[in-house]
Amino acid sequence: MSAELVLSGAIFIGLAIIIPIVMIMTVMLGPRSDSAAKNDPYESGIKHVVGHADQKFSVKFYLLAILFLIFDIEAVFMYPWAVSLRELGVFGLIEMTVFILLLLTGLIYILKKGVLNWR
Amino acid sequence: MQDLMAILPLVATGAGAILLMLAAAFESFRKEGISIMGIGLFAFAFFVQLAVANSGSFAPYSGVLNGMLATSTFTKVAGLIILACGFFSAIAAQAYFTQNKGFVLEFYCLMLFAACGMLLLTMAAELITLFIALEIMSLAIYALVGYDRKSVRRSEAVLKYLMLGAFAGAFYIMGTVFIYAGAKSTSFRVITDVIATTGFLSNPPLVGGAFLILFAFLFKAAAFPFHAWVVDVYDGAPLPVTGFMATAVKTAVFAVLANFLMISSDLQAAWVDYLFYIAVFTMFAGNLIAIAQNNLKRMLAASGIVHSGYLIIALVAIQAKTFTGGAMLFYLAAYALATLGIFAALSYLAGEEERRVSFDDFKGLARVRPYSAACISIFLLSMAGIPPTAGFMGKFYIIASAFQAGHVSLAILGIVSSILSMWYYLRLIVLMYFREPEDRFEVAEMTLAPLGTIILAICVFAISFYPVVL
Amino acid sequence: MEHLLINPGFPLLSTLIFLPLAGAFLLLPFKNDDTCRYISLGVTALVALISLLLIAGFDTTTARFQFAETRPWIETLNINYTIGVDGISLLLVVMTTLIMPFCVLASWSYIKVRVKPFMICLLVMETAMVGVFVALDFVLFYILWEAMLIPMYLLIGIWGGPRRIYASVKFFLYTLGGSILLLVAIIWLAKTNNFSFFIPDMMWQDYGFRAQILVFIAFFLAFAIKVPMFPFHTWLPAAHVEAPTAGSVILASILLKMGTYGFLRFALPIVPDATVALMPYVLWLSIAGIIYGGFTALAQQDMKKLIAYSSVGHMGFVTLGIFVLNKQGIEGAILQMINHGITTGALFLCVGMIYERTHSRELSVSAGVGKYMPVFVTFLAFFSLSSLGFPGTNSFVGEFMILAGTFKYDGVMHGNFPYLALAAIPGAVLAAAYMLRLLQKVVWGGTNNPDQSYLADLNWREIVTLAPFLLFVFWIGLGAQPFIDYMDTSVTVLLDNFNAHRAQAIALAGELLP
Repeated sequence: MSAELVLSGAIFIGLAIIIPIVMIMTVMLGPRSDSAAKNDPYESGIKHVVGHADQKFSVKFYLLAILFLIFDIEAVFMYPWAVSLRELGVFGLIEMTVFILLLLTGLIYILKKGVLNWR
Repeated sequence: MQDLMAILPLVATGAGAILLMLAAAFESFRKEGISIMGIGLFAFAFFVQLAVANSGSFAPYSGVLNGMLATSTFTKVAGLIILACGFFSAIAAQAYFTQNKGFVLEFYCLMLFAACGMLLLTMAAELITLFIALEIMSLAIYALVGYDRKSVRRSEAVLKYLMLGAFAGAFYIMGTVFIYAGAKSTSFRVITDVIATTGFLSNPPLVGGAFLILFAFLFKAAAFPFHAWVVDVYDGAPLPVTGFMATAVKTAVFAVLANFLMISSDLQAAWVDYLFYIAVFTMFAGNLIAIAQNNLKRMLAASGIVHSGYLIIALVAIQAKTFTGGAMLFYLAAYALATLGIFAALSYLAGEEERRVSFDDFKGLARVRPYSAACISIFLLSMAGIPPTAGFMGKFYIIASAFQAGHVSLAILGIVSSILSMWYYLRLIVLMYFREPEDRFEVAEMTLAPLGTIILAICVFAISFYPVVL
Repeated sequence: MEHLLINPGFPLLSTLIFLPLAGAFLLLPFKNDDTCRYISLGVTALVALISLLLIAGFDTTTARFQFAETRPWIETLNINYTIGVDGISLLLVVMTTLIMPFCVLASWSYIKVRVKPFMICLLVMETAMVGVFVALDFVLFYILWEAMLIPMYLLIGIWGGPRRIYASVKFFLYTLGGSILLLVAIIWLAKTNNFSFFIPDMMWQDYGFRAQILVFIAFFLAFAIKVPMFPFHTWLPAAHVEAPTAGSVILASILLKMGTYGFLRFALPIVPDATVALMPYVLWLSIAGIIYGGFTALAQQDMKKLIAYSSVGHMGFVTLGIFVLNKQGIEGAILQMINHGITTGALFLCVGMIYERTHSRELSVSAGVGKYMPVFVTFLAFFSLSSLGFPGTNSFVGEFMILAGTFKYDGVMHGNFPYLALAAIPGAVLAAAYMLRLLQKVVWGGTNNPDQSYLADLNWREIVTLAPFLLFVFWIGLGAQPFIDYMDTSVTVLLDNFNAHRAQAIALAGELLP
């Protein structure tokens, strides 16, 4: 039972109390608007969540999400490299440049194909 | 520097793919231009691989990139076969798209990406790398099969392939997890050491993991219980893609299967009995399916299952000291030549929108196009394993290796199955030669495919008499 | 390499093998039918002339393989390109090359469509056939043995008669199926011999009795189907009837000999103990073939079928001669192989000539052509007499030697009563019956002969085609000794080795061996 453990325990307990309080206060104090559209179930561009399974839906959101994922992962990869930048040296720099350039070509492709145009 | 040398073909293929991708994005070339580029890039990658293979400066199974990849003569030759498959498929595709609609500029780029994944797959010496390679290959192939969204058959094919492929991928990952649990590593080298110390069968997570991974590979290789998807998917895919799938994917998958089984002799020995039955059932199931087909593409797909069966014979016998790896590669090369040849010939003979695909459509071909018919016959005879074609030598090596490993019954069953397969190969020859033509077989001019077909036909004999692969 | 007499000079045998193949490639650019005919005739004639050099240079005092060449081929598997001839194969090789120009001549006007592919098939056939007789590496042998099927299959299937597809597929599958076990046997033998595919290395080895029986069965299936021996003969009439003339001639004269050659070259030296053990069955199958072939031939209305069934009978004599395992029998068998090649080949040529005129092979249609085609029936008469073994013709010598060998065999094995020879004799009588029936019908016919005044007699090309066959019929019939001299040493050595091996095996195994 070290002091750190007690401290972290206290923080978690504090969070457990504060978060519900904040949420409840948002409900009570925040402005509200109520409409039919607002109450519709809504998910990633699918307008009618309830209904036939074979109806068509827009792929735009998925596309965007996937693209986001790729560049998000890029950022994730850059983090460990940044941490060990000095150890990896020039070799790491070259590898990372190659990696980023590869993704850059992907980005160029996406741009030219007009995937990012929200039609 | 040695590392770089080893992955040079990979870099060449990948860079080529990206180049084509950008070319497609900027629409800087028309269809013809990009076809030539695709063919040229495959040829370039092939020669790079050839140069690397001939440089021969590294020790066998030298680890590359911290043991993530390993190269050997085996992987190099497999890479050569894969790139040659890509080259000839690209030639076939060029002819195919002069007569068929549905061309997209990214076609060759996807093929190069697939080839890139396959090269990585043959070299992978670590389970995670292997999975990434497997998925690079599979995703590109899915796209190649189904990019023509308007066609129902393409969509059906890609849906089946994608779903089942995803299952196989999931099994693979599960297997990797188990193996990691058993060996505390995903690297082949460490797994070898672990098996050497703890034994294989006494280490349950390893057994389970290997089982699941083999499961996934056998799915990709279209072996017996997992062969049902092949016929529909091959039938649904565009002709050149079918040829590419049937040859290059098979080469890559069998190369990686062999690499995986060669991790440890204990591991292979534990599965040898099951592989034995899988080989037998694969051969006979494939034959039975093929006999019933009226569609040439479906017949070739089913015969692909039979050939997988033969290749599994080579896997069964892989521990024998002499020439099994060579036997397998030679068989793959022989099979690839014949299959690519037929698909190259079909890609210009099938006509617009793949009009001629059933057996009856090729009645009397020999009267109208004697050279094409002769080439197709050579390919069919090679697949059937009639001397003096490469197919016979391939079967000969495989059977000899089965003998070496002491599986005489397997050798005999393999031979019986090759007799059965004569039935459907001969049928096409009978139709082409012994019937009168009803069709004029007009085809598009100015394509490279006829030339490619003839080159392949010559190669069928050439590698039979000069088996350089061994 | 004590088995080979390496030929230091000009590679004669390789020339014989590859010249026809080169000829086939030479034909590719030509479009004119006549050009193709002349080129193929030239090539086959050249090959025939070159093959005469073999006869001239052959050393009859040794049983080693002469004119031998050996080159590494697939080094990882120790497979070599090794060829050579000895007394057993020499005459067969020369017969093959000599018959081929006449096949081209016989197809001169018979084949009217797709002449170029036809000639290419013939030339590729020649390469494979010569190769089979001279191959001394088992893989090389097997490759050529199977490769031969493809051109033959095309010959029957494209240029054949109305039921050609059935006949060609049956021929292909039957012979392929038969030789598949041969491949297993070859690999097993090679594996047992440290992966040497060199045929003489496999001879006179100690494989154990059980293994020998299995290998013998594999050999037997392959070779007996090719011969064809009695229960495996059904592909032969179909193939013969549907094949074009040249195809029938090649089939009868050369292809059938490969089966019997296979018995001599492989079965006897490689698995001698199994040969002795299974010999009685083979012998009685031969007898069955002789009698069965004779009776069936007697009932035929189709001339080609008649000759085809007579082939079954004649080849029965050949296998009989081989498996009595004595010098008279084997030498008679080899001679009879040559005789059958000459006589039956010539008979098929005759039928082809009449078919070109009447477009029918029915006996009744050709009945009584003697009146209008005197030259033709003269030839036919001599060949028929030769086929039934008339004294003075070639077959008489062969059959006589075989029967002499059979008597000798019976004397040793069956308590001095010649059952076997006695059983074979009716075959000779039957041969006389059906051949004379054919001759009588064709020459004179009956009272209601069809009108044949439109028939023209043989032209010069056809006479030139048949005359050499007639020459050999009488040459061998009246002076067979030079031919026997060529094979004598090889057969003697083969039998000496055989008996030595048997003596050793019996000494080792005592009563266990039959």
